[in-house]
Parts: sequence; structure tokens; C-alpha cells
Amino acid sequence: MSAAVAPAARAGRSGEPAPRRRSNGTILYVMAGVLVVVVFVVPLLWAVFRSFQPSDLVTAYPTWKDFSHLTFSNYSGIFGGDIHLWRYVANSLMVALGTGVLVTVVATLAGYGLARFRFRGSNLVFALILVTFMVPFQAVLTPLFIELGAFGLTDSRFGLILFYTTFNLPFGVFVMRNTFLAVPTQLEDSARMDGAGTLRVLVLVLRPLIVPGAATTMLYAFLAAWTEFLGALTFLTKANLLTLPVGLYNLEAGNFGELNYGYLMAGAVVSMVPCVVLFIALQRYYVQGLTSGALKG
Amino acid sequence: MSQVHYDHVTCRYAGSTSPAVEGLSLEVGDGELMVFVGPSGCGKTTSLRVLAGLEPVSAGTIRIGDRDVTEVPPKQRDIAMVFQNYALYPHLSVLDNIAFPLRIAGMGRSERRARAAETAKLLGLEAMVDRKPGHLSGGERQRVAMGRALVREPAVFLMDEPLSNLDAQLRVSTRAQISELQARLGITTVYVTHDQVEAMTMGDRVAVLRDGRLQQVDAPRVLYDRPVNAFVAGFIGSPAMNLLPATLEAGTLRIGSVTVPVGDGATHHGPVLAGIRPESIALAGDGEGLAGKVTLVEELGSEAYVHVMTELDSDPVTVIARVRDDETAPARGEQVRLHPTAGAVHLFGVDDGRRIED
Repeated sequence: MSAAVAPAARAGRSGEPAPRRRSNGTILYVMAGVLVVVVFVVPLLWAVFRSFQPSDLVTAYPTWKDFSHLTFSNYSGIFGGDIHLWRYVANSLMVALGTGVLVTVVATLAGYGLARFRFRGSNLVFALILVTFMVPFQAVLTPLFIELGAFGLTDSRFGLILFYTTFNLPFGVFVMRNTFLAVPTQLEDSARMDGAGTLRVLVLVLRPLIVPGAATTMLYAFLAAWTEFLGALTFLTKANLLTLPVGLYNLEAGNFGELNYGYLMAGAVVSMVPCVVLFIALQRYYVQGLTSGALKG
Repeated sequence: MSQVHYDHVTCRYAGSTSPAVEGLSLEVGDGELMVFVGPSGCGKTTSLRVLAGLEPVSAGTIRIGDRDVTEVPPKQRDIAMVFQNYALYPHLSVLDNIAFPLRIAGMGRSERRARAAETAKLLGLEAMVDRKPGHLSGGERQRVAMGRALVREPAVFLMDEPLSNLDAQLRVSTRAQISELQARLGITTVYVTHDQVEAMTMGDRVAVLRDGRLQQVDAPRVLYDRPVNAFVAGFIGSPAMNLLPATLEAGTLRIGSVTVPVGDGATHHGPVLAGIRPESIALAGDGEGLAGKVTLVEELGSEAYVHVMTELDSDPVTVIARVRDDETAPARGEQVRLHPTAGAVHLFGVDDGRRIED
């Protein structure tokens, strides 16, 4: 008996089952992971599930019979009828994509300049850009409204894009500067020796190497603009210009009649879809972008 | 003509208290392989980079042939460079890496690929032209970097420690290939290394730098046999030359208890630094000579070196001596006597380290 037990107790490198202590740790690790997943994912799955149920069942006590009452009526309701959620989705897409592209382009150029060119005051410029991180936009909302009004950019999607770009640029510049710092300078020296000017170096040599950083910046700016509420509520008043967060708020507040939780769930699911799609498409680059330059500082 | 002229070139980095390169003046002949060598921070890479146009010149001029290129951008200097870490474009294949300069120059796709393929064949890379740099060994990457430089047929070829990332065995074979290729193509080449063995074996001439200043530029043999100062004497040669405190009086050099005749031409009197190469010190078990104890024996197979701890004017000093072919190396802890060979001693001033002519 003891001879049969002893080899298992000495397990590990011989290929026999791992010691009991190690499998207990693994089980606990997996259980903790499952718990975290449950906490984050279950509410999302619940919202998706409830969005396919009639309104009277959404707020009712859940039962197993609910799975037989699935319907697309909430979606047809918010995209048709008086609500026309399509226009809010379209406005949000325009604003979020515009913000993402503008932030990425400007942050790339700024990050390249700060990472590669030595000029007097460059550290101060970078510090000032980072300082704006500490200023919540809510604190400057009123003067911004007056300023955009003076330029005729209130009630304008372009004005909103400029507003979002301003407050997302510091993070973008930070990420892109670190991204460029992680690229060996000898690559650019080599390209210059080969005859490339600054712009060709950026496009032909550096562009493929900075994709993770650019993807991170794009994703961050897009998500920030897609989900932002207060700025959109402040700067947009015309119904046909409203973005999705403001449109959903109106839905919740009952501007379109009695509050319909089915419609609300469907609207929430619609607002999630582009974020999930973009994140899945860019996730490979996102982690790289956040950690690039981590060792160089 | 592809001669390179440095004319009192100084390069000072912004915010730095001392120049990285100061008053560098030397010429590299057409088709010559000039090696810049020195310890870290001596200014050899900076000297290379100012020639490439990658660093600005604070003072002086640089000419390639008859052309003053001091203010000319890198791409217009007709120079190609191989970097220490090769600087290959990771997203391009070997062929596209080699063809990149031709693409920038505006050459058509089929023509540049044909030229790149030719260069790849010259360097033995034809079997891997479609691979990316990440799938190549260190030696293969080094050849791709050379290919990218050679495809342009430059007037001057610059190499910044290209062998430092290779293992010892590959380094030996690759430096021979580089020397042979450079001689065959006849391109004026400036090569930077911190390895004095590389410098001595590859260079037509070697420029030794220290703290941004040129110490000596000469053929390797001359550097070895007639170093102009104690720094060059101690830097060139492996193992390094022994530099021992000594006294010179009336044509006789006294090193501890040993006296060595140095000839009637020596006019200097007083303390000096005596430089003696390990192969110029004879070992004996007893008799006359500097007494010492063996602390280390380095057996290299073809030769052996012993480290001997002795005393000079009550100060402990380690002297390295080569064991002659007909001798057996002493054991560690053994007492030995050291005899410098007359006529093989180099004399340097104690204050400035400059060579004292005999």
C-alpha cells in the first residue's frame, strides 16, 4: 500500500499526477476567475436576453418560461415608429469615428515630435499636455460652450468632435510618444541614410511598427466619444443631431411616452455592439500598445 | 575619388560640458579600410555619425573627395551604413530590406528587385530572400544589413560595431569575410569597434581615440611596435602591455631591483613608465631578475600567460609574461624571476604618458 502511494506523493517531473497542493491552487484560481467573469459578464448577458423579451416581461420576476417568449419587437420598435434610433446611432458613429481618427492622427504626429526631436522646452510641452489629464472637462464646460458658440460650433457634430478630441489627446499623445520611444532610433537613422525624408520615414518605416499604439489610441478615443453623455447633452440641442447616449436617456426619461424597459434594453445592446466589435478587432494591438515602452520609460 | 577628410572636427552635444569629439583631423585614403578603436565613450561612434551626417558638427569640416559635406544631409552624402543592431525593417522581407534604398531612390520595382537579388547572391542570402528579419540568425541579419548598404554602391561604407552582437566564433569568420569583401570591392570604409583584436586584424590603418581625441593613427604593426603614448601602448595588444614605474639614469633603466640598458641616446632622466610586452619578459626559477609569485596561469592552448605579483618600490604590481614555447608554465604560487628583454622596453613620461624616444 505504502509503495503504491509513495510514487504519487513524489509526483511532478516523472509525469505522474501533480501533488494535491498544486491542483488545489489551480482550482481556487479558476474559481476566482469564473467569479470575476460572472460579475462582469452576467449583467451584459442579462441585458441582451431581456432585450429579446416583451416589455411586460422585462420587469417581471424571471422564470424559465421567459425563454419561450423571445421576440424582435423591441428592436423593431426603437428603429421604427417615433424613435428612429438609427439617426442617433449614425450620429454617434460619425462623432466617435471622427474623434478616433482625429485623435490618432494628431497624437501620432505630436508623439513623434516629442519622442524624436530635441527642442528647447520639449519636456515642458509634454508636461503641460499631461497636466490636462488632471482637469475634468466638466470644470471647463461653461467656458467651452461659450467658446464653441463664438465659433458657431454648438449644435454641430464637428464641434463635438473637436471637443472630444481636445480631451482625449493627452492620453493619445502619451501612448504614441511611448510607442515611438520603443522603436530603435537606428531604424530611422538607417532610413535617413537610405535617402528617406521625415515623412517617408514615418510612413514607410515606422507606420507598421506603431500600429499597436495607434490602435490603442483609436480604441480609447472611440470608446470615450461613443459613451460620452454630458458634453453631447450640453452642445447638442437639435433632435436630429443627438448622439446615442442622449437618445437613450430621452428614452429612459420617458420623452417618448411611457417608459418601455424592453426598448431601453434593446437600446443598451445596440450601444454595446460597436464597442465590442471594435475591441475584438483591435484587441491584439491594444495590449501591445499599452505596454510598449514600459521598459524604456 | 572617395577619400574622407576630417579637418579639426569637433562635436559637442547640447548640455554637455565636454565635447564628444574634439579637433579630429585625419584622412581616409581611397579604398582604405580605416578602423576607429577605443574604449566606451571615446568618441569613435560619434566620429562615425558626424561623417554619416546623423550628428551635427560643432566646428571643423568634413570632406568626401573634393566635396565639403559638413552641412549636407545624410541622404546626399553617398554614404551607406551598417548599424550595431543591423536596423533591419522588421515588416519587410530580406529582399525588400535590401531593395529599400533603391525604392527610396525611385527605381522601378522589377529593376530594384533584380539588383537586390544580385546583392543577396553576393552575400549568400539567395535562399532566404523571402524571410523576415525575425526568422534570421544574427549572422544572416548582419549580411542583410551589409547587403542593404552595398546595393547602393556608395562612395563610403560605414560600419558601427557590426560584429558585437555575434558569438565569438562567428565574429572571427565574419570579420574575415568583411575584410575580403571590402578588399574585393575597393570601397572606402570606416569601421568602428571597441575590440582591439578586430581593429588590428582588419584595418589598413587604425585610429585610436580616447576622451574624444585622436591618440594615434597608423598601420597596426606600427601601433603595436611604436605606440606614441602609454594609453595606446596599454590599449593595443592582448594581453595589454605591462606599464611599470621605473627610473632612467645615464642610459640605464632601473625597474625595481632589475637594471636594463636602454642606450646612450636617451636624454631623459628621472621617473618614467616602462612599457614591456608580455612576450618581452623572460621567466626563470631563480637567479637575477625581478622576484615575484605566480598568481594566475592562463592556458590558451597555443600559448600561455602567467600573472606574477611582485613589488616595485614597496608597491604591489602584477606583471604579465608569456611562457615561451620551449618552457613549461610555472604553477600557481610558485616563485619566479622576471627578466625584461633589453631593447624591447618602451619608455613613457610619467606626467603626460608621451613616448620618450630612445
